[in-house]
Amino acid sequence: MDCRHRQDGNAVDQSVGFSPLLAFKSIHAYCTELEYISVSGYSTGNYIIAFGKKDGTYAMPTKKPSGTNKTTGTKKRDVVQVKNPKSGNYVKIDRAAGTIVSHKKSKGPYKGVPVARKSK
Amino acid sequence: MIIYNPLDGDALTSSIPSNPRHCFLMTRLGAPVPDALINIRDVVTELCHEVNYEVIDASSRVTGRDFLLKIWRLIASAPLSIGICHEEIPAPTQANIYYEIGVAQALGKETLIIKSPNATVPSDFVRTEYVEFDHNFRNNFTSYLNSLSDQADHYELVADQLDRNPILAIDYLKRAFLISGDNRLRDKAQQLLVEAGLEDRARNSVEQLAANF
Repeated sequence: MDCRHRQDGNAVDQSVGFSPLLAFKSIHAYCTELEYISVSGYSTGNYIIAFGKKDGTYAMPTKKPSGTNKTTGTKKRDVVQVKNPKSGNYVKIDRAAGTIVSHKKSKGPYKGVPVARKSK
Repeated sequence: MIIYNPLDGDALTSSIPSNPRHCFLMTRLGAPVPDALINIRDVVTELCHEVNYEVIDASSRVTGRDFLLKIWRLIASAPLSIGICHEEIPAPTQANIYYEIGVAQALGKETLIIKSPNATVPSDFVRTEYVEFDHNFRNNFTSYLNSLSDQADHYELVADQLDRNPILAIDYLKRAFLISGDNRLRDKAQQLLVEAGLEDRARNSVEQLAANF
């Protein structure tokens, strides 16, 4: 099925998201002695990453923003948000990529993201 | 949207005629139908007519083919599916209604449960919108029906942002069209198909089936 639907009526795009494997590879590039990485916080989107050696050294928790829709370098992405009347929450859409990036869990709009409105 | 046949698992490759501004009602149809259910059905039908929605159910079409597939196609054809939850509905019938609500949600339809004050809704449906059939029912149900136009506007707005993802945009336009019945949305879907260079695909291709609603 090319698209599935959430309770609030918006399609779910699972191609955009945080990858523990990519995070591990990135961290491993700086420290080849790493033996484990654990990731939590999938439900909230505020990922807590713990990594280090099995004997406890190097273990340090850090927080990684979901960041999939952030401006990277000088390349600005065409991101807008719309309000879903069913849930009352905002949905962020990357127009350039043609994907629904994320659904805000709390009330209010995303900061710094323009709200798209229906053209009259 | 690709719909898989529940009987053999293969994709449906024939188009499903749209029933814009229709409501698929899921309730007990076979006799004996309790008076309370007849009353709920009458009120729902009356209120739907007031906002130009027609009520259909599993007995509305005679196809001579499989009953389950007919229900799937009816659900897929309409924008709204309403299930009734009532203590006088026998358990097997109520189970069928819950199954059909699940099908409707998986197909991206608007769903609503109308429950009697004494009926208990299973935990999987606690987040599904419901309206109690009590003295406020007329107001609450009318208010729900009126809110559907906002949802159609939302679907069109999302589709407008997704022109780089034409099949998803077309699926949103289809949902907006089924709710509103606005033929302009059909034209918009065809335009998206042309702009994406997909208009030459086979008539029963995923792209053509999606856009010919």
